[in-house]
Amino acid sequence: MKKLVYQIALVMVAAFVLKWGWEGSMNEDFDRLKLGGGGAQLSLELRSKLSQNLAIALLSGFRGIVADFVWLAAHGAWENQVWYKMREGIELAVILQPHSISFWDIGAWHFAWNASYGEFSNPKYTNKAHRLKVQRDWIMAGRKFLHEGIRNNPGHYELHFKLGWLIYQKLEDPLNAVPHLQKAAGFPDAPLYVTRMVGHMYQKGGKTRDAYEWWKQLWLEDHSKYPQQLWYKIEQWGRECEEKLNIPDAERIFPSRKKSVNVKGKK
Amino acid sequence: MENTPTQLHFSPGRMWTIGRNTMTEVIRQKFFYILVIFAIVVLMSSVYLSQFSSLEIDRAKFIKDFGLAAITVFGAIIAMVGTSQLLPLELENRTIYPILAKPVFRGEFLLGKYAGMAMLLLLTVVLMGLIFTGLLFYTEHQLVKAAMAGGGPTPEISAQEAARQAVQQILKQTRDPDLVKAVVLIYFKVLMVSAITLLISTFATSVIFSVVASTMVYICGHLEAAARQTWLGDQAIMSKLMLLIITFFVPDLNAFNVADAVVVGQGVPWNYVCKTVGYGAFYSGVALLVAHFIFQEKEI
Repeated sequence: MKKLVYQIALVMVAAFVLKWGWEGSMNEDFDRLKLGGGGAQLSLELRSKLSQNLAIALLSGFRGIVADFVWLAAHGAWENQVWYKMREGIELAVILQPHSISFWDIGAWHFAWNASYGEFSNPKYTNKAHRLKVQRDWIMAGRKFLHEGIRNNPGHYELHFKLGWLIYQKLEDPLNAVPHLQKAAGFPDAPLYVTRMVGHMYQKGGKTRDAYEWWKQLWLEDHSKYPQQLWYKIEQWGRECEEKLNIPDAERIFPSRKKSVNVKGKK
Repeated sequence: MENTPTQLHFSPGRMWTIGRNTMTEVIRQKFFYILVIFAIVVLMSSVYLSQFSSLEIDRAKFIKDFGLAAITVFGAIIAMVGTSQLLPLELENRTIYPILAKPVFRGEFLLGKYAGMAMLLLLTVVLMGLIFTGLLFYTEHQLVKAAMAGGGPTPEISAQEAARQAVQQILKQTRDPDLVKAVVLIYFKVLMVSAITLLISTFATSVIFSVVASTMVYICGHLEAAARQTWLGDQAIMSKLMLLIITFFVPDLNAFNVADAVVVGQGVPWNYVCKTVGYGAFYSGVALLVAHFIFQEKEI
């Protein structure tokens, strides 16, 4: 019996020394690569927001599925237009899975578009000023939410784009949307519409010169990068800017279609 | 010629035979069928539940979350319930006596039992993995069909190009090669759970005790990294002692849990997978060695 205890103790101590070092290295990698989803650890505050079953699931390592169920509950609250319950659910879902882009994206959309409109048209607010204030509060909540999402996921174009879009559409401030859209356009995986949106925002904000510079910058890029259809559109938008800015013919980059047809006609 | 007794060596052949029989025995038990059926039902239900997602593309995320969780839960339950019965059943049916009366080491017997369970767990994880893949392909098919039908032209891209981009996005979600890494790590996690349960069952007085104790270890294992971090911090002596006990005995099971990262599209390098698999093999080896020491001295 004594021999057995010694054997076990010896193996356990040796294993513990090795285990300690190994786990330290593994945990370092785990944190560095953000493999745990980067969500907050279970705290009393988090526990109070979850049901007992979901808390046990979270303790057993099923963070993703807990986040999905919380998200589904928030979705239900949206359908029933219980905005504060929806907000609580969405905020909890992103605490659990802060690297899920769609949670941030859809969450901000719910705040700034759905809840803001829902509250604006809520008959319980009889005063228009009050309704406008509540609407604005929800829009600002959406903006803050996207800023938080970007802080957690700086390497994704989607949230930068959504923030720019929110500022343009809900705050009607196209020029303030430009820096966010430009950031989004700078990502190599950003789709075409993100790139051209910057020019449109300049135009909508009355900055025709800046819009022209943007179309020019795009026009000078490698044309094989995007489909031909896009270049026709950029050419058209650039030409519109040239017309507005009264740029002399000799300095124009986007030649007039009419003129080029005439030249061809002469031939 | 004088007849000299030949020395008995450790035999992988004998171990293999015991392993094969163990696998057959567990497969024939009712609990195994019931758990596998439940696992399939839960996996299938993910397709239904995913329909409540607000975005079409989120359906794939939901199915991945749900599928990987189902493989982990049912893998762990089968590992705990199956392994905890291995030794008590042999003793209860008295089948262990004729085996150990033959030239079979107790170590071979124990390892054979574990090998059988490892094969069964591999079979189960592969089966659930195949069903999970099938469900993902089914969802992919549905999403692609919807994308092809719903995509309209935009000012700068044609309808075909818009559909192509949408399909690419869907395929990125559903055909993520990192899902294989997540399943590999789940397999090694349940192997560790099986080794711990086998160790507990060598000194446990009942099957229930083994199942409950290994469930506790499973839950604590997911908090081991947090306990370790807290231990390294500034704590009272009693707290430090408790945390040390947890970190001393309990493995870090959370390190195997990369599903969250895989589901949201974060890459998992092979280097990390290999390191974690190595850790799993090491910890299982230690658990089996201690189990062997106890089983060697056990009065049967």
